[in-house]
Amino acid sequence: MRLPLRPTVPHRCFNHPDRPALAICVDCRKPLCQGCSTLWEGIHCCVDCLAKRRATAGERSGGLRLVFLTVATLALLAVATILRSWIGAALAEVL
Amino acid sequence: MSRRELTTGAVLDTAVDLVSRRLPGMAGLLMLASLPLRFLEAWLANRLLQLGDKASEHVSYLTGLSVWVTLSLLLAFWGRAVWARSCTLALTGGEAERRISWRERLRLSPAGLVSYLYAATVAEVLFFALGWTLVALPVLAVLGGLAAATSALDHRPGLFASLGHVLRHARPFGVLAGLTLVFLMGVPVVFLNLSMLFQILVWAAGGMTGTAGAWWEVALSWENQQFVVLACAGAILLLEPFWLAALVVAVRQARARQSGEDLAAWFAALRPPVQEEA
Repeated sequence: MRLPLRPTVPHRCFNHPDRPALAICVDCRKPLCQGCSTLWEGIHCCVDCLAKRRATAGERSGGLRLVFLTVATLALLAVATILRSWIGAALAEVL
Repeated sequence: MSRRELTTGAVLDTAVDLVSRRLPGMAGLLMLASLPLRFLEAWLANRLLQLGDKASEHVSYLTGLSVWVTLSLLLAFWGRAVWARSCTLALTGGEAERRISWRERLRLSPAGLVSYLYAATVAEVLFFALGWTLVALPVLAVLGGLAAATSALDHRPGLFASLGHVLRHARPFGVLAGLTLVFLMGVPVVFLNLSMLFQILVWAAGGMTGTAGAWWEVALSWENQQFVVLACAGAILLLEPFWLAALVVAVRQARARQSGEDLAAWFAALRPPVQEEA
């Protein structure tokens, strides 16, 4: 008798019952065939869960970028405040 | 078939229509938001002129005033972003735009606002760093204005991406140069009109009440440095909605020409209305 290669994976793909399942999505636990499974950062994901992960990652990096840009803006505003008074004083002396 | 050229005159006509006819309330909001900034800038300039060659001895006092200018600058930036968004909605929305509530108009996307604040602050810093060259002043005025005009457009914010987003819309060069020239000439014209208006008001008030009003005549004359500075600030305040609206229109029309949106709208207008069969 021949043992299955991956005994924990159900035999059929969730989306394509005619195809054998080769992996399980780590998020929703659906069995997936080769065409439905995507290896992302070393883990198998289905299309829907991959889209959710990408969206979450995008929001996180977008949020971090906004925080970074806000800090940069505040730093530049401080520079503008000092430059305004210094250059203003210098110009007033020249004029 | 040929497209109509994008001209400075056509852009100005649309901008005037936006300010005076379609969005007067929002233009008023922009002026209100910019009013503290212009007043404080005039106050700081007046103090600098009064201190003269002793200004460097009062740097801490001047820095204190400068902090207030910076705080009011944030309010003015917000007003400009709201105004640019309203103009963009008016240009793209048509009839549907009239139904948009005030609350909806004031709702800015955080990414767009932060990106605009960053680009406008860079322009402000460059203004102080390069302003002494004089040639850079109109270029930086366009950069600051374009930062507001493009704030309502979707893009990915970033240290370089936000500046690149503004620079990508710095076209057509001829129209932007034309607009800059018109508004540079407009500032002294509005200044003269504004100061003459105050002098006529003093003269009329003196004639009606029979009082001499000598104090007001001195206060509102060109010999009074404080009045001249305030009238300059008032001229810039009055022109600001037109300037920003013109830049929004230029950006919007240039984008429409690039994407072919203007041709699609033209064809839709040329297409005869469909007759419904009974």
